[in-house]
Parts: sequence; structure tokens; C-alpha cells
Amino acid sequence: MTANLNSFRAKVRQLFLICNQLRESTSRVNQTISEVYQISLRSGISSSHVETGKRAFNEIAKQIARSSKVMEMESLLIRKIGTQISNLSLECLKRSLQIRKIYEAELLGCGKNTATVQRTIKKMEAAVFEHVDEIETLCFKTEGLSEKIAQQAERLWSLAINLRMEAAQSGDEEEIFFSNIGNAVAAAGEKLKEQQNEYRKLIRHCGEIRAELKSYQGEYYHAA
Amino acid sequence: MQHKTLYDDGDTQWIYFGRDPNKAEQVIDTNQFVVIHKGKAFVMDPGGTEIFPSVLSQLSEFVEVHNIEGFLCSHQDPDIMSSLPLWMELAPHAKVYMSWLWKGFVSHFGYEFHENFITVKDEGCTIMLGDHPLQLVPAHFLHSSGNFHLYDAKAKILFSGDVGAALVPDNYDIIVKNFSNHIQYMEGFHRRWMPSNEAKLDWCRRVARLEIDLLCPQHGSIFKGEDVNNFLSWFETLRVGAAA
Repeated sequence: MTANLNSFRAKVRQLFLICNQLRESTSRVNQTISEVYQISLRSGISSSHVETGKRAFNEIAKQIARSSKVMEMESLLIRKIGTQISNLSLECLKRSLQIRKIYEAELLGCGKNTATVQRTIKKMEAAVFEHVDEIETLCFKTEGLSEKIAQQAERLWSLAINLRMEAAQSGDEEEIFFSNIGNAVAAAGEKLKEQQNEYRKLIRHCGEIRAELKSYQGEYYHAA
Repeated sequence: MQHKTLYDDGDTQWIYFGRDPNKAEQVIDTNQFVVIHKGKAFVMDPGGTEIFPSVLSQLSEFVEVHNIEGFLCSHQDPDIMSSLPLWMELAPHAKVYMSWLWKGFVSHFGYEFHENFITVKDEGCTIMLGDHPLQLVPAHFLHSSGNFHLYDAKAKILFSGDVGAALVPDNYDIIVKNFSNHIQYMEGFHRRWMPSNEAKLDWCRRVARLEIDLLCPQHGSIFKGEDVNNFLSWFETLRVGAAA
């Protein structure tokens, strides 16, 4: 594997970059969900002030609040995992740079330390692949969460439609106010759907790079 | 990278590594010193990451890395020990001696090995390399606020960190041959880097009590014999910390 050290390092660098994009993506999702949560709070407070006959607003607002609360918890978890993935990929990058330096020493000749140097390189390579496996596990975990968030975003979008329909049948003042809230929720729902699509693409890309990296591992063990 | 045996009495060797011709020109040249006693080694200021491959390769001619018992980090600079995480991968049982001031800072190079860190109190200490004592001599504020040099009473060698350092041209002598001529390469360095006349005089008084045949700085050339005294006299009278 050390014969392909440069392409191995390039692959680790790619993994690092994509993992960082993943982390940023989870932060964006979290941000959007926080916005939805704020909107749901606003609509909840406002709906509690409407007349008794128009309590449908209140029910829809409660459902928006419930959905956004669930999403918020999931997004916090996904953001936490995103950070873990990013940190693991940074560790891989650090290790690959260290391997390069030790490998350079081996090329210069390490005499009586050759066996130790080779053993150390193997140990460090194994640590990289261990982290790659951990990244894989965490990515699987986030895929499930991302799916749930996408479902909640769909539901949110439906609730926003309901809210706008109710608003259209109510008085002028309430129509404008709740239509605006409905529009904001619908827009956030759309944004979330887009973000989830983007996230899924990143996860796929990350998976591809991981698979390529793992082919080095196979090569290495085969050579050993 | 060149190497030179500075002392060898059969049991104990002092070896110098430096003047790496393969080093990138952007990287300041550094001297690394290793004391080997009955097969066990102690490395002073193992150097930066960039020169690690050369140092390891050269060192491998003399010692097996699992026999490295310790490293001295005279202070916290990157050219002193940014290679430390790499060394610790190869010699995970080695102890790393440093001023108590720097433990938390040095951990930024990699905290995985913090259990190997031995923090040294301001007054210094004696390290045993097998049955061979090595004395850590306080050199605080020369130039770092937590700084140690290493003295080997048997070999009469003082590793003096940045004291005595010089920015010399390529292919310059490893041992100073003409002290007067050598001053031009170290005067600016000492004026700028050494911040305290008081600390300097304190160090001069302390070192004057030691019997020194070789004074080995981390940059530049080694002072030998009479040039050790020439250097100490020159340094004592030099006004430092005046660059501002």
C-alpha cells in the first residue's frame, strides 16, 4: 500500500473535505429547523389569541410545533454526528501526513529500525482504516435520521398548506397573519427537503470515497 | 544530514546531527544531539516535522528507537519538537522532559502521549540514563520563559539550546574554528532573541561553575575548548533584549 501512498493521502484528503461538507450540511439543517421552531412558537402564541370558533389554527400550530420539536432533536443529533465524522476524518488526515513522514525516513534508510518503522506504518494505517469504518457506521446512522427529517419536512409542508387554507377562510387580519406563517413554514419545509437531498448526495459521495479508500486496505493486507 | 561523534568513552557517546543538505531552504537548520549510554539513548530537541525523516534515518545508524528512553524539549518552539508525535509513535515508552510551563501547550502537538510528559520544576533536575546522570540546567528566559539546558558532567558537554545559536552559511564548520569571525553569525540572534540581561547573567554565573569542553547550541556551530570561555565572556558582556 505504501507504494500508493500519494494517492492514498489524496483520497484521505478527499474524505476529509467531504466529511467537512457533511458537517456543514448538518449545521445548515439544524439552522433551518431552528427557524421552523421559532415560527411554530410564533404561530402557537398567536393562535392562542384567536376566537374560540377558529381554534383550527391552534390545532395546526400545535402540530407544527410538535413536528419541529421532533426535527430539532433529530437535527441536534445529526449535527453532533456530523462533528464526530469531521473529527474522525481530521484524525485520518493527520495520520496520513504522519505516515508520509515516517515513510520518507524509510526511503532514506532506517537501518536497524526498518522493521520498527514498517510496523509503525502498518499500525498507523490500521488506525486510519479503523476511523474510516467508524465514519461508515456514523454515516449509516445519519442516513436514518436524515430520512426521518425528510419525512417531517413533508409533513410540515402539508401542515403549512392546511394553515393557509384555514387562513383563507378566516377574517382579513388573521388571513394575512396566518398566511404569512403558512408561507414561511412551507418555504422552510421546501428548504429542508432540498437540504436533505444535498445531504444524501454528500453521504453517497462519502460512501464512494470510503469504498475507494478501503480498496487500499485490501491491497495492503493482500501484500502483507 | 551530517553526523559527528563528539564524545565516546566506550560506554557513553554524544552524537551530533545537522547540516541537512536535503532540507527545504525555508526551514531553519537545526542541530540535534543524542547521548547514548550502554545502548540506551536520550535525544535533545528532536527537531521539527520537516527534518524528522533525515534525523530518524541518521539516528538509525546508532540506536534502535525502542532504546530511546527520553527526549528533552528545551522549550516549546516548533523547530525544537514539532516532530514529537512522530517520535512517540516509534518510541511510545520514552519520557518527554519539558518545563512545567509548557505541558498544556506542547499537548497541542498531540495530547495522546501526555502521560509520557515529565514536567520539570524551575530549579531543574537530574535525569538518569541507566547509571549515567544528565543534569537539566535552568535557562529560563534564554529565550523561552520555561527553558532548560542539559549538562553531562562525565562528557563535560553542555547542550545549550538557543544560547550560542548562530545563523551560519551553508557548509559552515560544525565546530567553531575562528571565534572572532563567528560573532557576526550570532550577535543579531542573541540581541533579538534573548530578552533579559538579568536572566543572561544568572545563567552565566550558573554555567561558570560547570566544567565544559563542548558547548552545543541548537543552531549553528559547536564551541570547543577555549572557545567555550570565549563565548561565555562574549555573551556575558553582550547587551541583550535591546532590539526593540
